[in-house]
Amino acid sequence: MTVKRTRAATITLSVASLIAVGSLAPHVGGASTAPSTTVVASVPASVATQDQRGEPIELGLTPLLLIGPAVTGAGERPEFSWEPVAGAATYSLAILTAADEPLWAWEGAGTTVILGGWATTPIPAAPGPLLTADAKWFVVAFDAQGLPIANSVMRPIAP
Amino acid sequence: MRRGVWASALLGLVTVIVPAPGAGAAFPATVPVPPDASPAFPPGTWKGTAVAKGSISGHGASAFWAAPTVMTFEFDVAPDGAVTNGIWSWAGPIASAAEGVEGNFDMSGSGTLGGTGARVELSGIVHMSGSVTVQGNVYPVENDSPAAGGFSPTTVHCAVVSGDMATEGQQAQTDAGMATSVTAPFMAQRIAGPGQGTVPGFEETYVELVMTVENLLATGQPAAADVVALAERAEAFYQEVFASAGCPDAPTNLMPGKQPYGYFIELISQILITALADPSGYTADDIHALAMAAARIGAVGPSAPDPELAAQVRTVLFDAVESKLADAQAEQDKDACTIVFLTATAMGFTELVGPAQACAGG
Repeated sequence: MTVKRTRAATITLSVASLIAVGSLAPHVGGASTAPSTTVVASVPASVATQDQRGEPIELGLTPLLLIGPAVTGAGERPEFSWEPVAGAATYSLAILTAADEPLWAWEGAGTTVILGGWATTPIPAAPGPLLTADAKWFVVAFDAQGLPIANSVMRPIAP
Repeated sequence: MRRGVWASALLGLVTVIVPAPGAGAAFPATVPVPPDASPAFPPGTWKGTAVAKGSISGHGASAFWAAPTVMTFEFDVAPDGAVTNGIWSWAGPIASAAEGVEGNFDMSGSGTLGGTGARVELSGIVHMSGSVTVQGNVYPVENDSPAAGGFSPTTVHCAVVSGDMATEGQQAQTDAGMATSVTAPFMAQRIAGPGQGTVPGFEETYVELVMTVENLLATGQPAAADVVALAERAEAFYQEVFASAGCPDAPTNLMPGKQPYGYFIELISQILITALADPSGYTADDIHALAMAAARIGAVGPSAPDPELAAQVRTVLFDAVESKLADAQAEQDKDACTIVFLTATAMGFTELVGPAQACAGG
């Protein structure tokens, strides 16, 4: 078990990590008044050191931990990734502009996807959606029956 | 007289791909040539496939493709924009009908291509073989007709060009007072050189995707999973083709940030508009899946290439989500409320987010 001191943000935990430590951490975003110490048992160190910044989406579901990209400097065609959730069959990713327009969405079994759905990062001149201004994104995990079982915060992102 | 009407209709159908001079008064022998302006096939070697289907009717006669007909073509575009070394071919069954007259034909055509990258011009021969039945009497038909006409791209990228070969023929038929549903969407891929291959399965996959989206549109209310699967497959197919050619400096008419799947976006949008006119046929999960597919393919949002069409899709999606929220609230179905909340959040339907979250108990 690892104990990590954070800033104001709280690190959310995947189901696997919760089971591993036998405890339940709060699922809140960076703007909250979260406790300054959080258990981050099986979360990779590279993830644990990131802020889980964003607005909480309160549905009473298990927290889903976003990994990347960074909140700023993400580039025009970022790769989105998140921690797998135990029992999840599929995930949905939605990216919205600051004006609440759907920039792009994706559904699939993976936990990593490049904006636009490219298998590998294409040449800059490739067509498709680009992150050219401030936006936000969130991920939901669904079980095999299609029921949502976990969700992330709504995280801001900028190119 | 009746045979004359029928012949006009049949030849008019053919003009969709190969407007034939002298096809009859109902179908102008010449098609207006659009100005030589962009979009245009960029310089290079191109290999493509078109899928022709639909029917025309008017003046007491009708004609239709009895089955989707595949046309293939290949040509070079020189640095000055001239099309050289071009060839085209197609073959398919066509049926026609007028009062007391029926015709069934196997038709084939082939020839050369010229013109420019902005308007590729066809010439060659169309062969018609079959029979016509006039009031019970069967007459064999064997005929060769000259082929002419042209097509222009609508979406141009360095690796992929697409459009509709039927555009000029449609205009000519409409001008002649005919009703037409004929389309011939095409997609061309840049290849390394004359005779070189496309990505594996290019023609088969494109034809299958075109027929799938057409069939889903004809269904009226297709299964949500089928629409989602189509969007995913169209995306994967285009991206495989896009990734096959490295040509970052070639011209394109795609606006940055816009999705390139023009034909599929248009038809999937039409599917959504038709299907969601009555959302009662879909569950909240279905609506969520359709909304996500719409955002993925570019039928809604800022990456949509057609903002007006995207606005229509957004409206039907909003109405469908609102309808599902009302159902879920009435039934106190928290699972459905949660799905509605997630859909509303993902689509930016901010007016629905609060009520859906309250309903979900969040």
